[in-house]
Amino acid sequence: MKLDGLSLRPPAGWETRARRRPAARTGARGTVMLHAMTREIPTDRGDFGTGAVDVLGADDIFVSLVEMDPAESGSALYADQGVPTVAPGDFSPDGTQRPLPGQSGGQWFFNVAGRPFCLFVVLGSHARRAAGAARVNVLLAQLSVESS
Amino acid sequence: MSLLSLSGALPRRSSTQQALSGLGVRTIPLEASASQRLVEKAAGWLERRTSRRGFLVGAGVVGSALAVDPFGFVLTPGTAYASVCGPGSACSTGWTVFCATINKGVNACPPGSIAAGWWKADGASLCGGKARYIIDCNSTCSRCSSPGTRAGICASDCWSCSCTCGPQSSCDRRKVCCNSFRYGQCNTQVRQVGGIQCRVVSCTPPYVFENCSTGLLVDNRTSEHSSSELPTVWNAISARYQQLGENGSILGATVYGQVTVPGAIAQRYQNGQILQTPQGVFEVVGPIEKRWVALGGATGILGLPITGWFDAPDGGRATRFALGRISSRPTTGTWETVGEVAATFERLGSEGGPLGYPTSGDTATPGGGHAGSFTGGRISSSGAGTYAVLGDVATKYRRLGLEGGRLGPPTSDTASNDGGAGVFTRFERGRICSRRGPGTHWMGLEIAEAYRVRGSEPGPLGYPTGDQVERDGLLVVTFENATLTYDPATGQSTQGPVQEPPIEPVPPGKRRIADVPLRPRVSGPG
Repeated sequence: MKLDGLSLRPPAGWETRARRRPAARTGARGTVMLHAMTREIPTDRGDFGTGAVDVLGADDIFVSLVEMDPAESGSALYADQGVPTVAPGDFSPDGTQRPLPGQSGGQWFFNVAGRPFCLFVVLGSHARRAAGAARVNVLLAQLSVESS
Repeated sequence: MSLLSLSGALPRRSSTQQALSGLGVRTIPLEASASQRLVEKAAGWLERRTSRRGFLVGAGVVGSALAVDPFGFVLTPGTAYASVCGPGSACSTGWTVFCATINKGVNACPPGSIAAGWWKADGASLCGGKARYIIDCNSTCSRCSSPGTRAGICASDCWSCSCTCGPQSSCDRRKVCCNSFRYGQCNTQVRQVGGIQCRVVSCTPPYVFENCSTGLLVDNRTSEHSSSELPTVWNAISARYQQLGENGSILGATVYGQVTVPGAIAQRYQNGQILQTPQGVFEVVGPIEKRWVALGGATGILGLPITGWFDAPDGGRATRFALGRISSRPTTGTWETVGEVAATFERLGSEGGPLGYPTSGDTATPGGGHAGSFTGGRISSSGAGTYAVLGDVATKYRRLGLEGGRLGPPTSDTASNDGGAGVFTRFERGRICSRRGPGTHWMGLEIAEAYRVRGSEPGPLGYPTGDQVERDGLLVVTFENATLTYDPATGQSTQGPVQEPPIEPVPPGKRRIADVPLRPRVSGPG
């Protein structure tokens, strides 16, 4: 899967979708995002997974990688360089937009080649976050980001 | 007069800005839609037939429910209150509460929180079926010195608020300060924030009024999330507010929902109100709104607005009301003109006319009249009528005690009868005449009558060169070309030659100014 210089070759067991939101106003750049999920991705879903996380099983994972406005790349929030490696300790039951029972979420803000990203991951089970984090890292290893 | 574009008209310090400062960071009447009409009919049907909903109807909740989730409410008995707050309003659903619910009805980030991200939800009934924008207000990381190193959200023990549920007084019982999440388009100069304290809603994109970028993210499942402390209908007031710029306008954020006042529907904002009256939809803003409210608002001496607020000359603003007007300018204050005084003020050009801006409110005058003072004069309304006293004549009138003084209320506007060379004003008990050169002087009614008979200002006597004086029991006014004397004992007026005023005796040890020798002026260096 490839879109706007983002490419992801998902490991087996992942379904992926790319989405581009139109520019919010003339002259602005649209928002590009990749969604990956360990089960069928619902068509009707929010950009951070509303509608998708609701159907996660305990061993399922939802990943949303959103590229933000390029103007944000120099900001403090997006200052960290490179695609992160997620750790089990980075996940929290409250770490989602809308916590659901048993689930766990985490967020990472970073930039690659001047392109600012927000990575958001929801694990179906907080108790199984170690295994979940490892699977996410395998997925992220397949992510490639070209310079804008 | 043109309506002002209010967006950003005056600098306003948002709670976000206040929070950032604390962190040390710089930083037209609308027709109801067919579906609305249908729903209103259904509401009426429900009101007539469903006693169980009586308390809800009385509380205005049904109308709100109909606006937020019309068909769901009508077709699903027992969901009125839940419908007001939309789906997922319980704490257990995991969503975050609306700021209005926990911020005294104010749809803005509470002090100590900052806008941290936003998303769009399409097809929102509370935005007229169009897009609605939701802004997360995240707490700050102010409670500890070790907030962690990862960008985004700090350690939860650092958050400036604590996790709880929305108040039981509201149907919006969603979570407060529990969710560790950041959308990431706002205030990105702040590397770490705390959890989401609450959510702000708007029909205007947040990047227009908040420090947010345009990165568009969408979550349509939140389009009908709401609160009983937010406006619960979309109508002409909402449309006007959106036209003005919503949260970014001079009105600021909404404060609770719409209410009914005598003759109108009103929505309160941080810095004013919008009212829907039979005449239209009008905003009352800032100091004008404060003054209007102090005067009794819709049921006060001014009644309901009949215009929005608009630009007035010299940096001022004004709003017209059914029974008057309020004018506001920083240097002169915010004051009302009422009834006939207001009508006269407007007849003479309002703030851009010779009267300029009001410098007092409407004040009662002796004899049951009322008056207002202006930078350029005074308007006085009495049984004799309502007249404007202008310029130097007004200054003189003020020194003579205004309506309660020796001249009484005016019986004419200040006007010229000699092609503009000078002016005069008639009063119940006299006259004031003014011309450059002779100056501004008054005379009582008796001499004023003798003066009128002799042609007044354009006549052979010319203008008075001094005020009326009493001399040996006679009333005397000296004019440019004659002197008029009135004898109260006989009631007769006589005309004589110009008289030099008598020279007052000089007290021992004093000298007249004319007797003091002039000293040469000494110039300083440069």
